Amino acid sequence: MKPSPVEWRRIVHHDFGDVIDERRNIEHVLERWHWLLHSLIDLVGPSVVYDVGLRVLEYPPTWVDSHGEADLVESAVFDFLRSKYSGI
Amino acid sequence: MLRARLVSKAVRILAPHIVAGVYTPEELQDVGESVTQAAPARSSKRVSPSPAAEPAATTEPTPVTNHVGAVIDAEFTVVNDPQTTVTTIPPEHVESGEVSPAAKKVSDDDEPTTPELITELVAVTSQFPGENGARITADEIHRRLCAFAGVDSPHKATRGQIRSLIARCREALSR
Repeated sequence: MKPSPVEWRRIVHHDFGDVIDERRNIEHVLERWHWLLHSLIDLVGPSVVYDVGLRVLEYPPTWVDSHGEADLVESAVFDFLRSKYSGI
Repeated sequence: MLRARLVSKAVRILAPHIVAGVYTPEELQDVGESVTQAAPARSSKRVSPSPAAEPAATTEPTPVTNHVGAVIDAEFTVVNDPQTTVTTIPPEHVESGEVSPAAKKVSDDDEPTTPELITELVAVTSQFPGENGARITADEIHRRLCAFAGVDSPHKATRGQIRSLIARCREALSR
C-alpha cells in the first residue's frame, strides 16, 4: 500500500533527518514556511513553531503544505502556550 | 624647572606606570615642604625623606627608587551615618535628569512590546472561540490584535496595549 504524503514525510525525516538541516534559516519566514503558518510565526516566533511542530508532526513543520497539518501545528502551539502560562 | 615639574606631574597623572613611583630628590623636598606647611604636627611621622634626598645641591638629579616612607596617603575613617548614605542612581535616570527615581515610577507602557508579552497574549486569547464558533485561529488573533493596536504587525504594538488586552481577556475568562 502506498504511503500517504504525511507518512512519506515521516519516513524521509526518520531516514534522512540527520543529513538535512531543516532548522537552518527558519527565520526566513516567506521562503521556508507555508503561508498558513505565517500569522502564527509572526505571533510566537519561528523557533517555538518549529519545536512544537516537529514534536507533533514527527517531521519538520517547514514541510507543511496542507490545512490539516497547519491546524495540527497551530493547536499544538496553543496547547503548549496555555500550559506554559497556566500558572500566571 | 617648573616646566619639568609640570611634565613629571602630568606623566604621574596620565601614565604612572612609566615613572613607577620614582621621585627625584627635589620633588621629595617639595613634598616634604608642602606637608610640613599643611600639617606640621604630623609631617614628621608621615613623611620621612630618605637619605637619597639629602644631596639636594647636586646639579644632576639622581633617580630615587626606594621611597616607601615618602608616599603620602590620606587617612580616612568609615562613618556609618544614615544622613550621609549615598544612594546609587541608575545611569539612565541620571541622564534623563530624574533626580529622585524612587519617587517617580517609571512606566514602559509606551515602549514596543516584547515577544514574551505577545506569546502570553496568544496563550490567553487562544482560549476564546473563533468567529465561526470553532477554535480561534492564529490568523484571527493576529488580525484582531493589529486592529486593536492600530498597527500592521503585532510587534509594533506597545506594551501598554498588550498588557491591557491580556488584562481584559483574563477578566473575561474569569467571568
